[in-house]
Amino acid sequence: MRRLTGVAKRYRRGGGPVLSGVDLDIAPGDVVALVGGNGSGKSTLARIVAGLSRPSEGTVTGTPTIGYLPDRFPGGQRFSALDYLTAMGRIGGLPTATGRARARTWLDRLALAGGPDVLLATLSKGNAQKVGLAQALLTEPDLVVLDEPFSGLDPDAHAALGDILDELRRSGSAVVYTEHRADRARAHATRACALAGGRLGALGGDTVRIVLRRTAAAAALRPSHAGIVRVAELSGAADGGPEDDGHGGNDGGHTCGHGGGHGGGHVELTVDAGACDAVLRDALSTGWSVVEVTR
Amino acid sequence: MSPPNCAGPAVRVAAVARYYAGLLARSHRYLPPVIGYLAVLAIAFTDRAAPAAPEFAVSAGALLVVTCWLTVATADAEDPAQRLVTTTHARGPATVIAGLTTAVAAYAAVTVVVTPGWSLVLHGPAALAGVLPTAVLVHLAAVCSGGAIGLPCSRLLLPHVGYTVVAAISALAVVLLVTWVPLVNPALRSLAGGAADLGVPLLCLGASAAALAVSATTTSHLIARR
Repeated sequence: MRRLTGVAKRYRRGGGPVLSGVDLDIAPGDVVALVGGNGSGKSTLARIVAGLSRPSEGTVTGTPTIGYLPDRFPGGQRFSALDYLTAMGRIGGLPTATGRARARTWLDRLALAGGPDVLLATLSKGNAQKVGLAQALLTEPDLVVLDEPFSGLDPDAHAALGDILDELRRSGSAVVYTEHRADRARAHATRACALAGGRLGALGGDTVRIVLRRTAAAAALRPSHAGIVRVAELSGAADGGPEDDGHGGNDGGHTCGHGGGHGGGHVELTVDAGACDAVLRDALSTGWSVVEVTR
Repeated sequence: MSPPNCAGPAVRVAAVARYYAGLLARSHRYLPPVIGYLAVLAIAFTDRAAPAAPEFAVSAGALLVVTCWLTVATADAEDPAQRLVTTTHARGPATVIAGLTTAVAAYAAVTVVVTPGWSLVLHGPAALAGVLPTAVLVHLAAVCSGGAIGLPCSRLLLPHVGYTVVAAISALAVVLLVTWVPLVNPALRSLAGGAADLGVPLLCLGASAAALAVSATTTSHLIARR
């Protein structure tokens, strides 16, 4: 769908490269997270993937239709959210009625405060971000490029965005998004890449897999540690197939309790290595049995 | 994945133009240049006994400045990050530039209609009979040249308003005052002298249209290179 080969980017002639030797192959169904700190080149790489910036070296191939969310979606205009999205839909080739209907659907789903007729100029950062997300998804593009999409969103919108990323993956669209936090990247991405020193590599495997078994006395496990990346219910020790809970991360406050059709099953946690001891201590103290810990 | 949205380039340009026209209207940035233009008309078009052609030279010169101002105002009304979004939907900067130029031309077209109308009311149809086609051509040339100057002088390429002011005023001064630049000046001088022939205005309109095409293409190319 989109392939970057040997991509480098310099903003000034003779200046140091922001990106260097970046290779990235994006296929339908991929959800690629680009993880890095401030100034690591995430936004530059996102713009190159979206075709909005030309690399100084290397090639970008593939011509998918693209939806793009900038890292800071400005809301200073006097358009209403609905009128703005309808205009973007028209520019993207949608009939006005279709664009308007889709805009309402996305804004409802993302729970825009003030409703679809609210003026962009009056929106908070988080609500402007929701309008930005809606416009990126409006024309159902092949490739969605989101620059720090979780920034400024409330917990409900976090969960909704997680679901949307999952739906996009299942529908065969590809997603590339940038993120500061490794745990959030791992929670939603099929592939997480680290960007450091202008170079792209696989995100370090600094996580620990913990399998817990419920005992009769086990209390509901409510992970409260920032290091828990992913929680998955295992349907049973025999078949062992993990069933992703579809949310991941810490933001939703996962609860892995009794019942719900999984009684007596196992729970698999993916935990940042630094939080492993604390998570194990919590699990043991609440009546869970540790079955397996692997790095 | 979605089925492709199969709107053609002309439809996209029209959609971009509609968006920018709405953006300019809502921003109210059109008010200073439009009020300024109406003030020029109010000052220049007052003497019923005066010949119409020199008045049209004044209004065409003002329209050059006004169109440049409107182009900058329209481009600068959109945040650069938001323009990236618009560019993505439009599938490239060329469509964005074409739409923006079309929106400004639509605003300027209103003034091209208003000016002869004002003159008609002042002088009556008999006084305009010979000069009207020439005046319309010169005003169209001014619209094209104003857009050609405004595009590269706007935030599309220049990051600071100070650069915009210096670059735009310099370019406008050259186009208005330097006699051998064949965009507007020869036609303005011809009109100010009372000449009603179409040769010089046609030449200037062709040159101005070509300048607008070159300006739009170059601006689009430079944006794409970033």
